[in-house]
Amino acid sequence: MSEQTAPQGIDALPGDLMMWVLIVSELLVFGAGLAAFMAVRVTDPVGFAEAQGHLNATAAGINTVVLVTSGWFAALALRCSETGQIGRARGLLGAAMVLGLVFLVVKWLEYVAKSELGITFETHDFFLFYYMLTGFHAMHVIAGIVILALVAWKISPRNTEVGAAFWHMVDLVWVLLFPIIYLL
Amino acid sequence: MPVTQAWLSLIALSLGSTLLALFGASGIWAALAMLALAWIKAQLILRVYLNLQSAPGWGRGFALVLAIYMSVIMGLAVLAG
Amino acid sequence: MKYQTQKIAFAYFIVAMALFAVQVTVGLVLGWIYVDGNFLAELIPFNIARMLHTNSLVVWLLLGFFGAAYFLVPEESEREIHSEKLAYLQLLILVIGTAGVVVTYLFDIAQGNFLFGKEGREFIEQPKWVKAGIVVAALIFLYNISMTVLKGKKTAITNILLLGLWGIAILFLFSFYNPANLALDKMYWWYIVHLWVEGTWELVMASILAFLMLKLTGVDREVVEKWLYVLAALALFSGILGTGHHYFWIGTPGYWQWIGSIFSSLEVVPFFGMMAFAFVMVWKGRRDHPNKAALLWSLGCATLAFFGAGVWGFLHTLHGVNFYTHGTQITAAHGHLAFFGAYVALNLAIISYAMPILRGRDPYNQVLNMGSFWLMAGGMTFMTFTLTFAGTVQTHLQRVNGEGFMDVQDQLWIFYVMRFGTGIAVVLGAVLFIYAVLRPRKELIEAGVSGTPAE
Repeated sequence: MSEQTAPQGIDALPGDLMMWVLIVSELLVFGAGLAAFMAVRVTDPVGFAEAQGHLNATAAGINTVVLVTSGWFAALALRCSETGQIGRARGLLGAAMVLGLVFLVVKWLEYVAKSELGITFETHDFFLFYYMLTGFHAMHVIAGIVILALVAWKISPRNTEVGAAFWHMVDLVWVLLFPIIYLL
Repeated sequence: MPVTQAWLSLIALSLGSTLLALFGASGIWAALAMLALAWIKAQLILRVYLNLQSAPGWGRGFALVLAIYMSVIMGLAVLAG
Repeated sequence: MKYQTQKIAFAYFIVAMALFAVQVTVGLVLGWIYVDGNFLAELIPFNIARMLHTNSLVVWLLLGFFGAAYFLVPEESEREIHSEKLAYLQLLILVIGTAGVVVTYLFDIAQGNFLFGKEGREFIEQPKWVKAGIVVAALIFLYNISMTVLKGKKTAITNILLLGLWGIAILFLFSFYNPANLALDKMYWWYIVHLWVEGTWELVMASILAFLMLKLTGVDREVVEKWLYVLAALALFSGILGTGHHYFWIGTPGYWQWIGSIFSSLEVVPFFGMMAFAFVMVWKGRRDHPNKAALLWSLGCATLAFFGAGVWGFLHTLHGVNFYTHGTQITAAHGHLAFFGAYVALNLAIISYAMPILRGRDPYNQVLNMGSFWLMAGGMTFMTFTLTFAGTVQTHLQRVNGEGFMDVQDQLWIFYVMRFGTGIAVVLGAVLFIYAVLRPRKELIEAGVSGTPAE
């Protein structure tokens, strides 16, 4: 194989193959969960709409902006890491992590408000999916913050690319989850 | 597309869907509009943040699967009325 | 045989095949009990026979895995096994433990005794002294294999194999915890039963298949390793939370229905991956290895595992479907083809590959062995079909129409007769296999190229 030919097949994917395997697996799981939510919703549109009324769409909207901005910082960190601006890359990763924490705080307040209303996952099918999907997602936010911290510690262009890719996956899941659970 | 431009677009699209919800848009058309906005956002994250624009073949593959998936979701939204 | 200590595997494979013979023989007896319900009812009650059938299966598969590890680790690590004596001691403990379980169960000795009595929990019913013995044997094994790998070369194959084997041993510790609450008992019980066959065993399977592909097809190690890591990741990703598909109806919270359905649906993916891996390797491979039987078993393993574990598993894994099919003959159909495809065929593949080498009979095509493959695989496939039809009819009559269990069983009689016929084919195949690997001295119809081109 000569050096000039563009990479083919799996080698063409930007970043690490194993991270893409994980990303695709995660997307399949969240995709199936959201599709199941939509399918069960068909059987009880009124109940779902009524249950959704208890959610705080504004908080979730703010969280969308928070997470998307955090993703932007992670993407910028990769550019800096590639051009050798290590300090700047670490700063941007730190900013991405702080926004991740902000997301979790907002999420926590949301859960507290739900539990004060006495809403659990057994209240209604809607809340079963709500807790399951947003809970799974929040766990990925936590995992993502840990990964970004590890990347900032052992920084290299490759590590940054792999860590940022996980973070973007968390972002991607949220932008699909947000309208389906909170807005429809 | 550079990442900053993608970020600005994402923010604009997010504000769009939040405004739709805040002004009480409801019903099938509002749902389809919100899902369409989410679809564009997902596509932006895949192409720019995850840099699939550098691997056009994979980019097309992901775009196709996302298109099929969003069609299913939109179909279910229409069914639920 | 490059390393002397590889011959440890010979003893393990012999004991494994002896138990294999016991397992299929008891299976045939059980098949007849389904046809004539009172057959041997006084002598060996159905539940005891069933225990023998399933437990001898699990034990011989594990012995096969141990044998496979003792065979392939020296070649991968490029050094002798740490201690030969310990390896035989481990085998001795396992044989005594197995005999102890059989005697304890058949004659129900020491009933209710804390240490010597059976525990009555399907698959982990061994008396406590046997469980302790199994743990000691596992510790000896892990010590022996880990020391060998640590001192020698570390490859992706030994990494994944060790991960799987350590997981098997650690998860077995849950068998000592026996909560009085039946729902909790079942919850922890699946930590062993499910996380073995749909988690850690898959890692063992992927690494043994990778070793066989490396040897039989001559594909570059780099390519094999990339596949192996992806397969291991997919197996763990889907398999761990896939445990949820056992938590639909045992009293665990409702969200398990969705977690179980979604993750266990993805369990098809690693099995499809293993099938794709095996065929792509053979297609890309430049080596024409003379041991055609080992190659046939490897490809058969990957294919039947995909259908048995993957497709037949998916068939009843969604909770909406499982609500009706749970515990019917559909489960039996899936269980038979999944275990045969994934783990029986895997063991027979590594035995077919290793035995001619261990006995110094290379090169070797093993035509009889290939015949046994078609007998066993054919018999098992037809058994799966008959049980699937039986299960479909049963689901409708019993779960949809609400007829009584025994009334439905009477109506399934014809399927059980056909299943008994397929069982005979499997037993004949098993006997033929054991004869084929032990008796003929020379059997070569195509020379092939057994050299090692471009490694």
